[in-house]
Amino acid sequence: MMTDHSVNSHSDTSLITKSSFADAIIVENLSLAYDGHIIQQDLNFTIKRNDIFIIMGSSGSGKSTLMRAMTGLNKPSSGDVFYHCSKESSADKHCGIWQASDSMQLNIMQQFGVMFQNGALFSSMTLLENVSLRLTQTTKYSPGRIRRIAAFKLALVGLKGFGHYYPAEISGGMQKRVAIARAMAMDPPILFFDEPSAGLDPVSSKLLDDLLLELQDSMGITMVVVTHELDSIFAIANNAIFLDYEQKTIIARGNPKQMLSDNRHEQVQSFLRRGKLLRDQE
Amino acid sequence: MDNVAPAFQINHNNSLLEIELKGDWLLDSDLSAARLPDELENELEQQFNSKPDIQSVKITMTQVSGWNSALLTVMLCLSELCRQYQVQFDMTQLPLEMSRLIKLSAKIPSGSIKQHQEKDTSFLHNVGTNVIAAVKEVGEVIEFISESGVAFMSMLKGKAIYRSSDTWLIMQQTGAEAMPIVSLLNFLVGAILGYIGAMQLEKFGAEIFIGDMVGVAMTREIAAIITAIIMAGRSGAAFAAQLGTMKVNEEIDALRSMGLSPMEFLVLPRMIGMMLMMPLLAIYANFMGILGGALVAYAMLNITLEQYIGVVIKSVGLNDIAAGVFMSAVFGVIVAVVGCQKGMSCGNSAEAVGASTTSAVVTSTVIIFISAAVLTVLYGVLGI
Repeated sequence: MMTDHSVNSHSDTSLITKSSFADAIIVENLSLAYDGHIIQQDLNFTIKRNDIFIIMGSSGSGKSTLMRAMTGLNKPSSGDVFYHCSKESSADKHCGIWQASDSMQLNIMQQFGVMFQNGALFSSMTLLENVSLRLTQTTKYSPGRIRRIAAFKLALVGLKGFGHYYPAEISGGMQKRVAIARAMAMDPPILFFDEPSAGLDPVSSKLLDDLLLELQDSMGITMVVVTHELDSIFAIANNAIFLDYEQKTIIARGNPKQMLSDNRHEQVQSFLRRGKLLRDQE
Repeated sequence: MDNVAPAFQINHNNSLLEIELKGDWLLDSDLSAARLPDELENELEQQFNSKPDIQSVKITMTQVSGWNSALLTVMLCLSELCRQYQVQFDMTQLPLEMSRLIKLSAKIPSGSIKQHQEKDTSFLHNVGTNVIAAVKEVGEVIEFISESGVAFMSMLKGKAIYRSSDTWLIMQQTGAEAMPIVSLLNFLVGAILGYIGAMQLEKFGAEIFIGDMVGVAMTREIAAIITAIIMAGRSGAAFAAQLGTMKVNEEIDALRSMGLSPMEFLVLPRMIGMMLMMPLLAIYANFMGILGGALVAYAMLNITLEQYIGVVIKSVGLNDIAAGVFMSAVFGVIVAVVGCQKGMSCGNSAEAVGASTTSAVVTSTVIIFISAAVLTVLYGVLGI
């Protein structure tokens, strides 16, 4: 589902592209490689504001690598990922995270929060300290106010009163919820999730999906979710791309439910129907 | 589009207190804006105290141009304050999204989850806890030593399951790869011993005995101790970190589930590697220390290498070398056992890996010095 956006010549204003205000993220000609081995190439897609956007594909197709390139963690071999230059900037200007100066990159990175697959909570800190870390470092609020904001974030994810626990004292599902609270500590307009439902039981997984929907609806957050959990994909996604391991690029894009009914690609159908092909059913 | 500075205005109208909010109430505000929530709460508290007729508080947000958690937490605090003063807090005028988020945050977590118990931090409790932990640790160490003894016996019987390639790799890492640092430190220690000795011996005209002093000190004790300290900081710490990380990643559980003994598969190669390499490194360290002394002897006392070596050969007997080598073998066992034990008993977090690594180095160093003292006295008693 590409949105039209005119791109300025990369030779003169290399890090700025013009686009619609409605575009939260623009991925342009992105290629990912590891030790010279191409993982994905020519990735082009746009993520709309307030969307829950799913990056799906089989294991090893490069979903997490793509997310790491989008969040400024792993440098792509070519291409760039464009975000609004800052929260206050004029609506139609987007800056490339990989071509930006260090200060601009930092500015861009403040626009999103990331939830890692295993939570990646700091084991030596309490849950409250985990959530308030970024607030302490980047805002000028008093320590008491920061504690209140962090406690509120924990309460939003259903962990009211758990601030003094350490990560090792809570379950995996709760750790994931703390990771969400930490990712949204600064109220970023964009949240990235790497396999949020992995390792969770169906009930916890459903609760997590409901939480994401509620947060997106109430706070208007754009969410980018890397997952291959079909139930989650169909429950929460507005839009999605499908990365193919063999062709090393996007082979399907759009709403997953529409993909299921309209897309004739064998890989996509096999994935969305848990290995059953459309022709088998027909 | 720049942020509009947040502001508030409080209007008192009979029993109603109206709080009018303006501007952007956002998390990334500047310092003056960051202080505003506290100011608003303080102001409200003062109003409650000075005007007891207030019965309800109403929030007006028509002039608020932007808000996020910064304002949400203010609302929650105001609501709490009103509850304390038994004043009605009117939230009906709040935006729908804000009301929904407040409602979401008010959900009580599942009742099946146990509530967190505050830790008892009294002196007696701490003493008791530490004593219990120390006794438990001693028990764990004894258990570990006996298990490693059983694994060692299995190896001697040819029944232990481990990869010999691992043993060779450990020997390379703890032996050959440690040679540069062992060389440098023992050479310098030999030179320091020689320097201090030269200054004292010069007073009695006994300069030639510098070779005697450095040779005997290095071969009997110093080379073994210095090498053991290096190995505790280098290889002992590495053993603890490797095994600790494997425990965190459930690799040790995976070995157990495959019917393989972690003691044989992981600990045995490390212990064999360290026990074999330590004496060899100590012999090498003897030469480096004596060489360091030779440099000082030549530079400060004009004693030629030939004269120096002659004195060393005369003064250092095989018993001295054997005493040092035996001591280094004991140190090798200590470093290997402590490093592996700390790794195997590590907790399940990154912090625990760091703690067990530190503990491995500190414990090995302490035990090395205690056993060095014991062995020195023992050698004296036995006339070695």
